[in-house]
Amino acid sequence: MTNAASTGFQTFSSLGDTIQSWISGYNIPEWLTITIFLGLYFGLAVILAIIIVYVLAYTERCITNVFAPYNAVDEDESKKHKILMPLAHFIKLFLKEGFRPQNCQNALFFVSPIIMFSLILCAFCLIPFGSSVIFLNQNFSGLFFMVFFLMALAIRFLAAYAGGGKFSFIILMQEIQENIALSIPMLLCLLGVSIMAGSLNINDIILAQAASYGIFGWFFVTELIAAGIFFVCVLIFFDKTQLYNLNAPVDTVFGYKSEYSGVKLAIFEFCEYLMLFVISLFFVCLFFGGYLSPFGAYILPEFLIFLEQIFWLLIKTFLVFLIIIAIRIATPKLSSARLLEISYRILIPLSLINLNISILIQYFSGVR
Amino acid sequence: MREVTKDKIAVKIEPNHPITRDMIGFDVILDGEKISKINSNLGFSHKGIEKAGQDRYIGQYLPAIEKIDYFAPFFYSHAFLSALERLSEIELPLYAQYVRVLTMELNRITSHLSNLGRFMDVLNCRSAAFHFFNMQNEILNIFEKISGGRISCNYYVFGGVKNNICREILTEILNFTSKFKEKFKILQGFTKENPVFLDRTRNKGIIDTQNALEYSITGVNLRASGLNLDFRKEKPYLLYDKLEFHAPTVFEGDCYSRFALRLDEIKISVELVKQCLDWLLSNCEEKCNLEIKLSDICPKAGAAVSFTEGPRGLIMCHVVSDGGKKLKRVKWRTPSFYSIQILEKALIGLNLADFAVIFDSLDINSSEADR
Repeated sequence: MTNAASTGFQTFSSLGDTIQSWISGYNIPEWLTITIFLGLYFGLAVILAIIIVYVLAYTERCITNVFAPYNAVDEDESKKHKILMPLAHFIKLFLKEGFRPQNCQNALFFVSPIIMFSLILCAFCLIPFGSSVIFLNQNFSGLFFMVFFLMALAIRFLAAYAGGGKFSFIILMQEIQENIALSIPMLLCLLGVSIMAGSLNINDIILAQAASYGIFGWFFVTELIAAGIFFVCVLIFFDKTQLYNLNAPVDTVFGYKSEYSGVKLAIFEFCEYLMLFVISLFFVCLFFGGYLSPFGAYILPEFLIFLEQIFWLLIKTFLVFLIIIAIRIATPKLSSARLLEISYRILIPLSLINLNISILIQYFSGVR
Repeated sequence: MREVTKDKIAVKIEPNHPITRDMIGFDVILDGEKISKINSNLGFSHKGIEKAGQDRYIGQYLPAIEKIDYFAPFFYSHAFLSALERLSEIELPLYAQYVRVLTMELNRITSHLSNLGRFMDVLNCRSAAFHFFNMQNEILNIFEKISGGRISCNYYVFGGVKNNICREILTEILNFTSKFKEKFKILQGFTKENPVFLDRTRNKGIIDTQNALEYSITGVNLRASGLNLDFRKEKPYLLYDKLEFHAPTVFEGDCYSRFALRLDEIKISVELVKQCLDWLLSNCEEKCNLEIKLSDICPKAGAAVSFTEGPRGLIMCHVVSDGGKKLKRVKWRTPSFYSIQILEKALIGLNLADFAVIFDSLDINSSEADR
């Protein structure tokens, strides 16, 4: 039996060490090495993000074709679902003229998409893809993740303010209410999980779920309420901001993006896919054992375990993503007022109850 | 716009706003999140249909009429032609009457389906929207086979219909009606049994009978607020006094009752189509011999009015002729024009998010309102 905790194969950190020792042979100053490392890390993260978003965009189109088929198109036409279509759409967006409205805040208008992208990349780098494949390993990485994620969401306010449109302003007011109402139960769920795991580090939370009996050690068994609340919050966050349906946020035109066009709009769209992927990664790490195998033990030999771990993590995340997209296509949208009611009357009290239950469990089990 | 103070925001909902879809504009004044005043701006898609009736020959005018409401082309050409036929005292052959009722009821289904589909799209429920659109598409394919056009069909002519419907197309329609029951269950699941749908439409945009009458609203919108006025029953035209059907009425007057009534009307229309098919399948060899050239249509001198129950309400056409090839005056009463005006009353005190719900529940087609 290979315990997940004792996989000593240090792929990324050993690679980092060799590169560092190689660089230090040339008497390069420390600040330059740090920038080179950061550049390498973020370059890798950007390339990964682009690949992931491309796959997600394509799968979303496929799912939409299944759940909402349009018969007016010839059957042969719809079956030939082109794999390069998302690429074509992104190129089209990049080539479009970037229109600047008269009332916009010049600097913020140009900077806000970039800030959003960099923040979501930071959150992306905190996720452990395997017991040794971790970009950034922080003590409080769970909390840090939520900070980066919620900040990236809050950049929407900045973008709406910078755009200077009236409809953006109206959605700004709505979204501030919603963000506060939804981030409170999300953070409370994270707290409950961290109390069960005894740590706020994402890697430690994953390792606390490792058990010989596989699936039943994961936190979605013991923290079922928290898992439910977290999932509902994710659903509501991404049900409001639609990705490809221009008609969707009808009362507020196109939400915070209504004044943006061209490359800036493309970056926002890109960020929303990435955010959805990153939050489903986090959800899997908290409640579905992250990179752990569902059978309790790994199949592949020890030096290939990191590949298997990445495989399990991506498979689980992909399933969560599929479920979110399918629910979004098949159900109508809640009104903003009802959403606040659900959050304050149901989600927050339930998450507080869940927090208390997990504290009591830890207190009486006497583990920590 | 003069009433805008510090705590009020003036918002313009222009034709490029996704709610409107068609060419129509609104000036909305928001008090916080609530709508305190609303003005509608019409005339973006004014086509001068009434003046065109005086300038063109009647045969040339017929295709233009269908552009008044592209969701209900058959109703408008029937409204115009029945006024002319009444003026010339022509009685339609029985075959043509059956075909007209059949096509008009099918058209009523497509119009209601597109309304419900667009509303589900507004609620962001794409799978439901596409179910509605696909069902509508089946009927549009039938229209294409009958007349050659999907949206503007130009199928009716003075004194009848253009050509016979062959047995194959009739059996295709029969297949559609026999399969309809299962599909209707799916549609009901998406709308009447859906808690979010109920939450967004119940007790919103209430129009009582008094208001509806004052604003001269007709059709489904009037029947949803408690007055049973269906012109198919009230002033029966074509075969409607011979066919068996009932027009349901609801008393709530809210958005939900309007959508639910539209769903019920689809059911009734399918029953009417079935009754027409029974007769047509046994008499489909009957020829409607029409050898009138379009340029030769020449009604008698005088004036006539026709009443038609369209999918959006009462369509009225007033025709004045002096016996020539061109008409002296054509006047249209289009139901959407009246439904738009009640928005100013129904929307006050509601959120901006409810605007789309009420706008769609009234089934407004701005192209029809502008003419």
